[in-house]
Amino acid sequence: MGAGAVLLGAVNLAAVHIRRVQRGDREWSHSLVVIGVAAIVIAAGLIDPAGRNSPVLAWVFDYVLAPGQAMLYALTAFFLAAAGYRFLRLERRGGGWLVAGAVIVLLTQMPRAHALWPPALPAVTVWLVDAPVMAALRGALLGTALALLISGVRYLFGRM
Amino acid sequence: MDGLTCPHCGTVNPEDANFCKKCGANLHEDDAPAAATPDAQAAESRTPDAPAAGDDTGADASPAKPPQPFALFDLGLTAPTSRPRRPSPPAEEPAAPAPLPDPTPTPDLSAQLVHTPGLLDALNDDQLDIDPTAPGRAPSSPPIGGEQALWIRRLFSPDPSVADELTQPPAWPNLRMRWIFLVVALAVGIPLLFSRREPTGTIQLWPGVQEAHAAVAALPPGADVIIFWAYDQATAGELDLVAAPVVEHLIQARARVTIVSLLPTGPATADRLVRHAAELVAPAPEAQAVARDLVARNLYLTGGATVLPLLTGQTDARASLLGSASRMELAVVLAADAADVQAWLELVQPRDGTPVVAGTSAAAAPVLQAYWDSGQLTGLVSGFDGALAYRDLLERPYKDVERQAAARQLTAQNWGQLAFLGLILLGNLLAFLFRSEAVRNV
Repeated sequence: MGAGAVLLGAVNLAAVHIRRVQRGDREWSHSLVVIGVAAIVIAAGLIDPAGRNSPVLAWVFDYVLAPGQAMLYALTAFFLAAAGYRFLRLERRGGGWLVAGAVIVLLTQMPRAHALWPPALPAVTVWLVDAPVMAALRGALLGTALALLISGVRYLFGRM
Repeated sequence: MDGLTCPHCGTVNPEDANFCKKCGANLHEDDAPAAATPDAQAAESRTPDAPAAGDDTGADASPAKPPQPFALFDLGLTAPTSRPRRPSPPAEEPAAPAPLPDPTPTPDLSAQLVHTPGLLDALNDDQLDIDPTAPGRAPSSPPIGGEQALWIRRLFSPDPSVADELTQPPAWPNLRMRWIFLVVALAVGIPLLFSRREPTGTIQLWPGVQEAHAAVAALPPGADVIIFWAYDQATAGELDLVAAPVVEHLIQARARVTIVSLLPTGPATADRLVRHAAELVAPAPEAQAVARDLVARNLYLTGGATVLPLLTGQTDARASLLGSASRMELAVVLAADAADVQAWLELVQPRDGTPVVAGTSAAAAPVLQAYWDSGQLTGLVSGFDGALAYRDLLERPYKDVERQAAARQLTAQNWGQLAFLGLILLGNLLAFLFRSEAVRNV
């Protein structure tokens, strides 16, 4: 059933983008690229006796897909840095806890800083994560679950 | 135009809406008793036959009593909410007794402004009780438009993230995103390009790494191991580093590995990593055979996490999925997200009791630490530190290419985290300095 769903998705993808190219919709050229790349990959997998291990597939994976995905994920570092600059502020309510937590975790994760800090600091970090952070996390999860439960019951009884 | 106008952003919503479809504000907030203008609510709740709520003497029941001035801006106005803004839905519950107006100013001024519809409306002469034809009277100013009203509401918003842009003093040094991005790019890029050949700094040996190594080392030759491959190329930069020493160790232990992945690109990611690990332990001509000997099956399973329970027990479903119903000696979960490890620990591990070693990103480690503490995880390898610590435990000496790669990774991590710390401290320092200056100027 799963394989059928994947096949159906591929057929649907092709149908949608072929229609967009035929109608000359906005950004139809992107659709053309999608169709072209899909055709190349499918053909490479079907024609090459190596199947999934086809060199063409490996090349597409190693030099197109992998760098593209990694590049998109790497962008999060930039946005995290910008968010840290703008929002990790001591003056905000609870900001001191956030800043202290971020600084401790960053320092203990920084290989160069290990020699500068007492050996107890990593143990403190582990304790912080195990005790207060985990307690808060579980409290939030339990609270969310209870709120969902209550909302569901209210919804079922028409009390929204 | 029909519908309810949002008091917060001005969007017109359907008549039966409770919350604004654009900003999520409560469309009935001004229906709540004594939300912002207690005097008005109190006046509305009175009936000719009943004194004001909370009024024991009845002295305040006189209709001639002038309205209480609004505590914040005493302009001699009648309460703005006494004007009907829109039809209110019938109340489901009887109105609560209105409290007496508090004559002392409320300290949270922004909350009163934000939650008081009408305060930001244009002031009309009839509201001010001023004769527009009086000599010296300036012409009426145009009413406040929607954008202006929205700006003022944001200005007084109690939510700092909403108000931040507008409330910053003009002298605030606007470190634009491009400069922050440039700092991060330089902090990571320069060490990558010009790092030393030897790693700098030491590796922190976190709990769980040695135990993970011991679990793999204890496998008998030919032991069946299942790897749940729950990462793809998006996170391969970190996870390949974690997976490589574990896979290399499995090669050394001569295990037979079945790889399962719920991600479409998972098997290809696994192929790539296994090839890389095999090339590290064997000369190029033999590496392919080494990889083939290690991996018995490399499968992509559709259906998401719902398929995981089928991987347990000696069942026909498991045999048809994995090609074998034999018991696994060890399960290795390689995942960027803690949820994938949790899914395995909740859906698979309790049913077959196979010991589990997890290789994860550093971000997932804090959540998974509790599973390690409770004994549900036999070993935990996470992040650059965990990967390099595991690599140090392998008997094979470093190759030059590995040493250089480790040096680049550690140096980039050092400088990237230093830049992150610096940006946090810089943001706080500038906020402190310029706020102090703004206070002095007042």
